[in-house]
Amino acid sequence: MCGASPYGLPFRIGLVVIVWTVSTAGDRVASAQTVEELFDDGTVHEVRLSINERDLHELRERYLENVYVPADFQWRDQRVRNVGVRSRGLASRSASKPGLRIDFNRYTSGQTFLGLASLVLDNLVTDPSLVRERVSMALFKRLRQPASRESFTRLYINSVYQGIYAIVEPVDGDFLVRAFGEKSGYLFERHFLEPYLGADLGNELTAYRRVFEPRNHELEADTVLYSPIRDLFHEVNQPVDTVWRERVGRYIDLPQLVTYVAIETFLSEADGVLGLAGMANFYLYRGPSSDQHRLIVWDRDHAFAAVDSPIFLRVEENVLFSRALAFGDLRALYLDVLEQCARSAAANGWLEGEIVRLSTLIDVAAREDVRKPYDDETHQMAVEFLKQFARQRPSFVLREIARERGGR
Amino acid sequence: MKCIDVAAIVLLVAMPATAQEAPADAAAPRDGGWSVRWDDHPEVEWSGRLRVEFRARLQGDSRASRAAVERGDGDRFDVGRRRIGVDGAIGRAVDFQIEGEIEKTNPWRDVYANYRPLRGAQVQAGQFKIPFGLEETTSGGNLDFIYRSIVSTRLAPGRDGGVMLHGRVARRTVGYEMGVFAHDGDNARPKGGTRVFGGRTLAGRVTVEPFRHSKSTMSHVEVGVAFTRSPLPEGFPAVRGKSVLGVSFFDSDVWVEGNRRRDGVHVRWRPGPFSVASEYIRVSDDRRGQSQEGTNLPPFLARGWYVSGTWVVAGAAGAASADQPARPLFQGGFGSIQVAMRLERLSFGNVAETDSPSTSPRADVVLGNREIAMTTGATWHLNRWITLEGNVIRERIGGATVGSVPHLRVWSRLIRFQLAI
Repeated sequence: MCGASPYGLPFRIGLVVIVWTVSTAGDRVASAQTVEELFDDGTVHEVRLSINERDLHELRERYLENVYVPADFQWRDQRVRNVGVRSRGLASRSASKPGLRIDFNRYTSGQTFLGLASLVLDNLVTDPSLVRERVSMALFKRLRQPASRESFTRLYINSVYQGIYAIVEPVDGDFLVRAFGEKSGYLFERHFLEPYLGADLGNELTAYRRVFEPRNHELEADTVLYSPIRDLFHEVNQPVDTVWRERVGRYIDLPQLVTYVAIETFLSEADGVLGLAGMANFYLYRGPSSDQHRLIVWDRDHAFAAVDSPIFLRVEENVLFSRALAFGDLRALYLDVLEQCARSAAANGWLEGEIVRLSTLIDVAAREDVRKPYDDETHQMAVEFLKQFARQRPSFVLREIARERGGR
Repeated sequence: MKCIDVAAIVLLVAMPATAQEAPADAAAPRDGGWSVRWDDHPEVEWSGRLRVEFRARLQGDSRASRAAVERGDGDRFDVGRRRIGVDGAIGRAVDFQIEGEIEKTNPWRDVYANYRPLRGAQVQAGQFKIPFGLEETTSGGNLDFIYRSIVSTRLAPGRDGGVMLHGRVARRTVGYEMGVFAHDGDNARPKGGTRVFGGRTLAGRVTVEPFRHSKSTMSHVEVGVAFTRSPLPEGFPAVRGKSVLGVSFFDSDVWVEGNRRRDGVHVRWRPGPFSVASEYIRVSDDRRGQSQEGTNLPPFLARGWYVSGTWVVAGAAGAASADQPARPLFQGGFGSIQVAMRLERLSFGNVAETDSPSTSPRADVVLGNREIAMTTGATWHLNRWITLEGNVIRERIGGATVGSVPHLRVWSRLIRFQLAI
């Protein structure tokens, strides 16, 4: 017969609790890793990809094509098997330092990483400062415009350092839910095959398919996808009167358009809606029960072009925007948002502070990045230019605004 | 249907009718000279030293299916095959066969010679079927269904060039075939593109009829095992999952490299008017160095089996076999009628929802797909040359529970007219 145990019930319960706590600690650390941590911009992350050498060779060889190869993705202690990886970008495509798109559910249905179906690893090869994109997105968010979350990472492929990359949240269903609370509307990416300035392309919907590529509902008929876009640019090209405002306003959120372009203009964006090569680098989103579109920002590698770029630079070239600014309230909004940008950027040296903070953060990783297509001196000069931009641009823009307001 | 096809059918219908009425010994060979006769086939013989039989087969298929048909135009009557050939013997130790199809880019089928110094040791060389697969190595004219099972057509190797030692030993209860072939068969070879297939192939088969000399119905039992072994270059394999009518249900976009191993086992029992047969085939392709890290992955597997049964319901009495009815149509009888049923399953990769199967070409656990097919058919042999066949096929591809793979349930109806001399 057993005697009374020296370890009573409270002791045993306590022991169980301790064992459970210790045994599940690792799990809870892992599950505590969230998408917010992935986009924590106060650290340089480390992303590791395992790609079969044959596939890696093909990825580099065929970097101008959207050829997917399988890979294993690892961030911290989280490993995602069999993700799809492809080269991405337009002018930024590179064989030695490829920009990459990661699709977690490409080969495994329903697979996500921290709830994300995909990620973009921006190779930053068209920005010697490496921080233009990040700082630009920060200003868009500061002005309450939806923008992708981003952070920096060192990328290793098969344990070989590939350089400093930006982890960019793609504009997809997950983004739409975060930005607008739903994702059932129609999303299009400006597809740059040739310059487009807002002309009426006629009744053929396929003409608009060349300009705007559907990013969801791809299997729906062109009439469903593109009729509102065709109607938008048809109305845009009608005579500017009160009817114009009403009709165009039905198809695009004009105040949002003006706000968006004002931020781009403050940032002296050379490759945006008023870009050197026509409209570029944005998404259009149309809600599920509306014909009205709004713009979503994308790819800011060509921002910060010049400190003294005029606030109406290339406005007249764009049919849509030039006609919108013919309305006094929209023109006033444009100037107001520009002023907000300037004051926000200058407040407590915010813009320069961001540039200094981020460039300092990535300094070591950038120096060790031997695949970037520019040397360290060029990188430092680019950063210095951005600091100068941050110090001088607000006052330049404010002077332009004052002159504009004074002249009217 | 082209005029030339119609003319060929009329001609071939007329010829056997005449031949059937002619006595088999109408033109007996003469010493030292040529003789011509037509028993089963038109035949020419020279002094007992050379014998050549002429063969021809014409098939027309009508197909209706709710699934896409890989070749042909659905319901349209389609002359599928026009095959001609000769087989014969030179002296007493060498026989040969040459057979080809008309209007094919690759017309040659069986082209081989067989040297048989002994019954237990013969050597065959040329292009012929690799000794693997009970149904695959059965002549097309002797099949119980219009099409072979998908297990046979997709997994068995088919024809290739090579040399084979074969024979029957132990009072013919044991048969063996062992050969070396250039590749692993035309079934495994892509019709175009860059998919990979086996290199030089070693193949072997042993069949046993353990009760061959008994007087019981068990004397018709045959069991067999077979294998092939081939080196496999790096690439996506050409062995793919396709339905009976050629609809792809698994593209085998999986990196492989190393060796291909085929293993098969079959059993057949033919007691009188009934027969049952079953076969299992497994193809395993190595994936050496194919993981993301360059390490080995588990082999890529394709597996399949079928079970079939036949019953000659009428016209079997006194006949050597169902396809040679004792009382042909218009000669006091109606020929013979056989009914048949076959159940089969062909699967690629892993179709279970475990271990996060993936469609990645480098996945540990490959998310595959499978087909289960049931074929019911009837064959009417009007005489020894003319056959009408009808098959109804119920195919079930994939499963709706596995959302990322194709799934389909479909009925197909096939009718074939065959004229063979």
